[in-house]
Amino acid sequence: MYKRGSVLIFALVLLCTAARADVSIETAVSRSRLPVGEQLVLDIIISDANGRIEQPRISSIEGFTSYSQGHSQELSIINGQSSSRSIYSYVLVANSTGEKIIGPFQVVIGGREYKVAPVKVEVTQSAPAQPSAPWSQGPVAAPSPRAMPSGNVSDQDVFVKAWLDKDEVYVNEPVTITYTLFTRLSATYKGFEKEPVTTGFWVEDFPPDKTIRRTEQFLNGQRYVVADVRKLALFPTQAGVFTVDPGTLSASVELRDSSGFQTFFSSNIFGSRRVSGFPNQFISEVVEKTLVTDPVRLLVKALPEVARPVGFSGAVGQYEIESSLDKNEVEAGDPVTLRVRIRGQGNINTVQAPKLPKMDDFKVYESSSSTNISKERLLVEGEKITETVIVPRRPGTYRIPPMPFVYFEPKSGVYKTAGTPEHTLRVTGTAQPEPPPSSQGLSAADSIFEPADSAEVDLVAKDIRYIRLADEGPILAEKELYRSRLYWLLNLALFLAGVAALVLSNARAGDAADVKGSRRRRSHAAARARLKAASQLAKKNDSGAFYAEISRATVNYFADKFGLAPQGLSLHRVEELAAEHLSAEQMNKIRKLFEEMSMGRYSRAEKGREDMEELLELADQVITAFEKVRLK
Amino acid sequence: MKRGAFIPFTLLLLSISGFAVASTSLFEQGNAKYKEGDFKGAMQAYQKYLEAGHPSAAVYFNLGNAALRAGEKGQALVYYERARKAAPRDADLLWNIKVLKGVLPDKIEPRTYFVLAWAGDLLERLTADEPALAFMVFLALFALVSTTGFFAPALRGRLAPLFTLVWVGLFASGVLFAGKIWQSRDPLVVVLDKQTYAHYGPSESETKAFLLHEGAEGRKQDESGDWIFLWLANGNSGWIRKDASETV
Repeated sequence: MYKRGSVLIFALVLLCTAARADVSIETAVSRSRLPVGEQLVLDIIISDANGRIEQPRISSIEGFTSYSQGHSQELSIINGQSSSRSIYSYVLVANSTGEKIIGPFQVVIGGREYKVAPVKVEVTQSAPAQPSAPWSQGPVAAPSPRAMPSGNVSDQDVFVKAWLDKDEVYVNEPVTITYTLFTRLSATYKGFEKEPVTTGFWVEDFPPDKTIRRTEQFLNGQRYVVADVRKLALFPTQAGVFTVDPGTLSASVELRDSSGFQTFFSSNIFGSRRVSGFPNQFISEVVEKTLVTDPVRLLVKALPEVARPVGFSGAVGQYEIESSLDKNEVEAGDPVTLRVRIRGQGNINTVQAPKLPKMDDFKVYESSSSTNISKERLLVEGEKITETVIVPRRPGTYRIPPMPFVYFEPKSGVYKTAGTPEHTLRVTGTAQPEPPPSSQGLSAADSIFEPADSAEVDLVAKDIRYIRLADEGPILAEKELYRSRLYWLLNLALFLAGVAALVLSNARAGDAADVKGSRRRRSHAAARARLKAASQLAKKNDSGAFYAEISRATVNYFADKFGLAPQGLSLHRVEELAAEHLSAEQMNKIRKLFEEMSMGRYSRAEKGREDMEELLELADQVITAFEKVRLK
Repeated sequence: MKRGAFIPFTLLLLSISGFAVASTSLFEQGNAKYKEGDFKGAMQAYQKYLEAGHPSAAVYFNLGNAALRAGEKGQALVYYERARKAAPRDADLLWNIKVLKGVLPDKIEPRTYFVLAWAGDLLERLTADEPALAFMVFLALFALVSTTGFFAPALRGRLAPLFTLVWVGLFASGVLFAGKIWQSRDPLVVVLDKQTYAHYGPSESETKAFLLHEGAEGRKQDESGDWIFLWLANGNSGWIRKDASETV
């Protein structure tokens, strides 16, 4: 029989250039020329897809009967570049001759639809002898010949029944739907006119060569030839009551007088017509008949909630699991492949391999998974192989703990747990430089990839550190510091003290920096005080002291105003500095004041009290006038 | 040393530390039970020691170890977190917390920006009082430097860089301090029940939001009757029963 990996002739390889340039879709057929009744394998190869790939729908291909053979996935990482490949395989059985076009198909990747171009195949006349095909052997007995009015085939003559092997199943437990054809005439099964509607189910088609069983039955006193023409395994994806619309079939019925039964299987039901030994004149008419069957009802029960183990990921069926390491001793930094194989009966496509525990001492690459499904025994069974590449970082001896695999066994109605064996890995060499990534993986497993033995400073096992032997060290504060009012008061006091000191010292520094300004500001008051003192002296008629005081008042006033030393201030200097600010009249007054003062101090002429009063008046006018001047 | 003088001195010391000796023996009793493998007994002894007024990081650390050995992972985390309040940089404690969190069923990955994560990490390595004290020390330095400037005006020029330093210190410690206060507004809560559902509201009749297991940690943001509103580091939040958890 056909086996995958036989000579693959790529009849046509077509690259689908999609909008996303990195996705490529190819179709390949194992042979481009085949006789009727034989099969070919159609592969749809999707490379570097971004996003979830929905299983391509290959429901009906004209001239062929098709069924899915499985799906495999490969992921490879070369120099940090990853590439992936998904291959969907289908077996197609040719049932009519001629040039056939397979496709085009639609593939949905990440919600986007891609078109796969069609492939051309030539189907030739069948080889004369097919001893291996079980359905080509003749019947044991034939129903009695019957005359039929031409063109009229009643529903009692040919009909089909679709039936389920179970009425009640659990979610993801397979139920088989079988299409059984009953005939009293010579009829040839042509295929499905309308495919069954299988929404809510994952569908696996059984290969037709395993399906066909042929018996005889008496119904209502009539002898029928009975054949199971198609079998499908349905895996319900959710609980509830489902009604499956089984679709419609078509058959061509040969109406003739001679033993019709002989030709029902002499021309095999897949259209591979044997060279008939009957003369042509016996064949009167061939009628196409559409066969409708009643919908079937199915109750899908949810999986029990109680006693559901933690690691359960939805696997239903009967499984066994095994794991292996490709090497037991390796150098740090070199990859080791951990292969987990789950084998059993059930929807192996949807089975998830158990997750690896958290591994701080390893780099982990999910590398590939492949699924092989076999339907040879009219059961969906197979194996899923997941390969994970792990790269140890440090030398030591590591224990890879058993990984539990939980599945639900519908036969007994309980959850069962199978587990992988424990592996020991010796790692030699020197530690890898990279730091361990922070907690990758979300496994809740208690044990980690524990270093079971240590080289140098590596840990033997991870455990908590020992208790404190003495009660030393910090005490838990009853109340945080910031919750105490005192703390904040103290802070406030410190802050205010600091700010106050800052402000005060800044103010003082400001004063010190402005000596000239402060002298200028104080000049008027000082001069007034001196003039007052002089006025007292004038009243006492002490002219000597009076002139000395009034000179001091005036000279110091101008010295303060101009920021000069009083000793160096002369009338000449005052004239120089004040000229730009004062009018000529005022300048004259200043000149007169200075002259009078020096006259009074240095001439011998006696000065009367009136002179002194006059001079006081003049000094007062000069100072008052000068106060109005804005000096720069 | 003369013997005659030594004896009365020793007696004096003993009488002073009489009370301390009595309760210290509770701590040692706990340690002894721990060594024997009687972890529940050890927990009780440590509890009594705590109640006698010794809320030290060491006793919380030992309580955490005993609880973990007794299989009470959630309770152990509560004790470890309390110890961490007093000794946030204790290497043994941090190690034990890491080991314990490694075996908890819920992994709650913090969802935050890297700068904030870094700041959060830094805050976790400080007690609440450390930034508060630092802030006060910098305030005191500020007062000291400004009064020095006032009384010794000649030094003013040299004080300028010191001022800058003090301002930077005040700012940094102030930010940390504010962060710490902000953090302690929402106390840590640890789930003690084997599993408990977080609901969208403070009632069993409210929709279930997510399932938490023993040892899951979050911050309490609100309270209503027997329910507390928990905020998880990964951004999820919901109401859980108060009696299913303990506040650190």
